Amino acid sequence: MRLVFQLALRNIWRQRRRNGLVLFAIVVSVGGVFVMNSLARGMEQDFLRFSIENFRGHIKILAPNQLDEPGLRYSIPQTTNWAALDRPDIETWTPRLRSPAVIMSERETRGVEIVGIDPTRESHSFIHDLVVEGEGILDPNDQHLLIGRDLAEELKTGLGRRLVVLMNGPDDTAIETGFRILGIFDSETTRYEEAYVLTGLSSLQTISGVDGFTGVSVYLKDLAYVDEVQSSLASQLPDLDVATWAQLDPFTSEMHRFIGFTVYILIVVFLGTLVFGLINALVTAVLVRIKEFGMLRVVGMKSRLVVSQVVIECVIIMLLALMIGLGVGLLFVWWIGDGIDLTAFAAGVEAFGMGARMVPHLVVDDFVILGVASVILGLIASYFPARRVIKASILQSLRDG
Amino acid sequence: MSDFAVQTTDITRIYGNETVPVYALRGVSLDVEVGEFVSIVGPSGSGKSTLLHVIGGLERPTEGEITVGDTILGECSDSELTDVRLYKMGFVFQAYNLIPVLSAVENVEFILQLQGVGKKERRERAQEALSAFGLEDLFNRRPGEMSGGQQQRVAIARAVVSNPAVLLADEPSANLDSETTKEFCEYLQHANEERGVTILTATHDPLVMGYTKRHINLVDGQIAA
Repeated sequence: MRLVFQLALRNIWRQRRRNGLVLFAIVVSVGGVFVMNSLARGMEQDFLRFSIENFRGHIKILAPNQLDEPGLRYSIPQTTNWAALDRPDIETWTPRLRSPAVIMSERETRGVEIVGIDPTRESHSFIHDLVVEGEGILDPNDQHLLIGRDLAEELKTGLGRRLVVLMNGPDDTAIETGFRILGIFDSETTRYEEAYVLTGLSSLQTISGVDGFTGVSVYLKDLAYVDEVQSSLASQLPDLDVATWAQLDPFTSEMHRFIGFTVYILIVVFLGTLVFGLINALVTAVLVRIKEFGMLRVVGMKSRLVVSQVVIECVIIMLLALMIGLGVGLLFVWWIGDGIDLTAFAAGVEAFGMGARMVPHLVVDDFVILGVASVILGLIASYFPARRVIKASILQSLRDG
Repeated sequence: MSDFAVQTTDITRIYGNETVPVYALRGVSLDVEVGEFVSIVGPSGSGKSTLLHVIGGLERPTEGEITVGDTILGECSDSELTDVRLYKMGFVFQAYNLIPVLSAVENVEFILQLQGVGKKERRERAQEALSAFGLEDLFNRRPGEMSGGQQQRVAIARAVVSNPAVLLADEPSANLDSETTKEFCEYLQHANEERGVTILTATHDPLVMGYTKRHINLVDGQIAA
């Protein structure tokens, strides 16, 4: 076998121009697939992140009927025992009080959602990363408002100005409250800036007269635990609704799943297309050496060794191209590491559930799958030229060469 | 152990199909003793190459039996025929047929490597074989870096390095000038006399015939009287 390997290596070098072109084509394909996959994985992560950090969490515990009628009418009592959340697979959890509301400035009126938060427990929501002009919500008892930049512009208001929030109370009576704007936040997406106004949890409880929360977001250490934890919490908290992020956001869940699938489609399409070119190039490379293969068989080289030589040549080229392709792909991913700026299409991509930057994300499994697929591809591609070699009789090979 | 290196009995080789058969060989019976240097001569299309091919196990006769040493080729599978070629035969072709990516010494070693001979031994034997054919300065040259005559000498060294029972040479001088042919024939004679290799060569070159001890004249696929 060592002999065959040695011959294969030397023959690759001997036809270095042809093999170089084949190698280049594979490198471009593998590198292209790798970069595309990394970007697709980045999109996949974006979808997931936006869905989870948007006050949803991996799992959400909701007051009954809250899904059908969001607001203050249905709430989880403050006195609820949360021992069920004391699990090693849960990273943290945070309670919130949320209500649809109408917000009014001196000039404009908008529909928003007012959210009462405990800022000390918001390490996993988008609030954690907000850039705030003025002051953020530092305390659950904070009575000021934190609103988004876009909303502030739409309301034609600013820091320190007064806003009126109108919402339905738990008994369906209207609650109208005045707030001062303590801070204006900029976030990764304008959706957050337009949709949410934030205040202290205790403060909103006092204003609304709700002694509890509308929901509790649960953040896990790993996405893989979702179904198990959801099932466990649902059985331990039978009076509450316990739903996963995927159940609450089926569109994003489907997109997440679809993109995961797209990665494999990309691999199949790119490498599948490549295989035809590769077979053509390898068949040609073998045909010009058909006499040589015939001569090897004349002097006593077994057919299987001759076939092995063709197969090894293909696999070596594939492996080499795979390594270079992955290296080139890695370099490119490193180069665009901060992501591709999609600000010009911000409205479109945000509506689609993505951020304004497309950031690549590497997944080890993709390396492995691409590697295995490439080797299998090499074996498939080598089958046809190898068959050509042994299909011809020895004398035919000597004559036709 | 047979006294004959090669025996053929009523060898017939038909090409084409049943409606238009083309007879390349018609009942050729031939005995070649161990150590003989035989030329198979005849005009183009007389069946010289076909006879060498069937003796070398490169194709099977339509009828008849061939024995090389103690091995009856007709009883061998394709894989066994490959082994027969590897261990019992050496080949020299008109077009040299060396492996272009290997040096002279590696080309000669190649056969021994296929036979599983150890690295050190095969290197020594390959160098010795090349030296015997006056190629001691060309061990590391690749075929593309050698003249036709030098390549043909490497081909003989490769053919005889494993001490085959028989060496088959098909028009070995066709690509050589008369001076090189003469030199080449002397090396073939050397292999025959010094190494005791039985040689069958198909040729229509009188110069080659002059070096052989027996001529077998083929006409229309039959041995002429």
